[in-house]
Amino acid sequence: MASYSSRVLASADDGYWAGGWSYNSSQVGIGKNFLGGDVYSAFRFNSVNIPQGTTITSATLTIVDGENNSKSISTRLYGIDEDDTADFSSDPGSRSKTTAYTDYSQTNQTTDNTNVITVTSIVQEIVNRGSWSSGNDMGFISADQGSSNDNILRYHAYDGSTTKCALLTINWSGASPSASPSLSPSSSQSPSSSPSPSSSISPSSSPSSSVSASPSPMPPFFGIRVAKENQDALSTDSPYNLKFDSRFGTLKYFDKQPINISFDANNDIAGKGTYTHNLGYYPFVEVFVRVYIGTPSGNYEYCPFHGAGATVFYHANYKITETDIIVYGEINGVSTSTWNFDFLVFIYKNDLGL
Amino acid sequence: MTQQVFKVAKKGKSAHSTDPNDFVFHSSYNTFKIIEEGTKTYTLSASTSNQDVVVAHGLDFIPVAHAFAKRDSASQVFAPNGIDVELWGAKLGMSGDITFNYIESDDTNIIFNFDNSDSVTVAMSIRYFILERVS
Repeated sequence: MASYSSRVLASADDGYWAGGWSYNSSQVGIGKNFLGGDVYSAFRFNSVNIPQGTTITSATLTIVDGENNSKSISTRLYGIDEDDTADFSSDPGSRSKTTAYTDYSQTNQTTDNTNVITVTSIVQEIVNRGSWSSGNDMGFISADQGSSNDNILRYHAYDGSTTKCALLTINWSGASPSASPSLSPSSSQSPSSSPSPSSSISPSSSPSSSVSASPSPMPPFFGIRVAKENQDALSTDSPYNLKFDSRFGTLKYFDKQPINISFDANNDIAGKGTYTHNLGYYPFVEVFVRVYIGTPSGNYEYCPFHGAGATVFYHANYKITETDIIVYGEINGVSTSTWNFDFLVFIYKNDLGL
Repeated sequence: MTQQVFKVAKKGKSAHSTDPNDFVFHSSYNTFKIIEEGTKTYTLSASTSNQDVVVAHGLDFIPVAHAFAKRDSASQVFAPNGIDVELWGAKLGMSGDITFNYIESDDTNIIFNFDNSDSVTVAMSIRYFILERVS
């Protein structure tokens, strides 16, 4: 008898869809959202070293409750019908599903309670694929089967806990293969090319020398964390206990630009100004504006901004193009003054991807 | 006990500076971490105000969210509490058909609210970022 057992090993190896695809959340969700949309999750397991066509004697997927919850879900778990499924850095919802599936229902959750789902026929179908090869990556994905709206259950994901994220266990007949060299302990010292050793696949010490997960009591962390006061960077996975955590992106502020608009209300009711960033994409931007007559005064307000004076309303707005930030000031009402709009544009090198 | 800090200074700035603006990262200050981000597509009904676009965030807390919107047919992005400026003239002021009224979040959803004064439906894309939890 040989076996394989491994948890999800990377941030982009689990994720869920709830209006948009997310693979770096601390939890994944399954069920149906407020509008009736299918909230589905996907799990990917690395280096499943089962020979093509092997008879699977048992296989289970274990997911662990991420919270206390009294809602109910009814879902169907499929395999991703591919020889070596890619990671989930993009939504895997359109990937082919196996014919085999397992229906799964759950009511209520208790934090850290484990749920074991039999996936034997699904795994069998995948390893029976003609081009399946030992050491390939295997994926699973859920699809709703009649959950009521606004019923989502949440489970631990890799980014929340490397020791409670989804676990795949497979047993099959025959001799155990050796561990994949790419996932051996010796290669796991390079954080850029291997999963965390807290759940790395390594030869077990059992006589059968089967491949198994070997979580350590304190999972090592490859990356940079700076904890808040009185928090331990090594024992917390919560991003809210950390001032910096390399698992998460940050806003990459790189420039602050002033733009000043001035116009005479007798002649014009609006003015505009432009800053050219030439980034070639729509960047994340924050804008503040100060509106005044005469000498500079007043507070900077978050823009877009709408204000009122004794006889006028004034409005400040902006738009972002792939080359420019264009700011606008406008007054509506009775005024003979010269109006000034001082904008401060903060530009981040975060591509909105729109 | 000496307080230990981790600092990364900006290019040309001293790591011994006391001005936080001189640092790319300074462990005395928190950072906004992008906990989650995504894109929501939606078609706004014609000539209708106060339209909610709802995204289930799937988190177990109320998040702080920021977002930008873009009508699919335009090459410009606009922010909440603002309009999609389509027409502008010094003596005409600014005008647009779409108003991005606000972002709201609760323990289940992020809600983006729009007005569409155009007489036709408008296909939109919304890019949102979850940066922190409220509580």
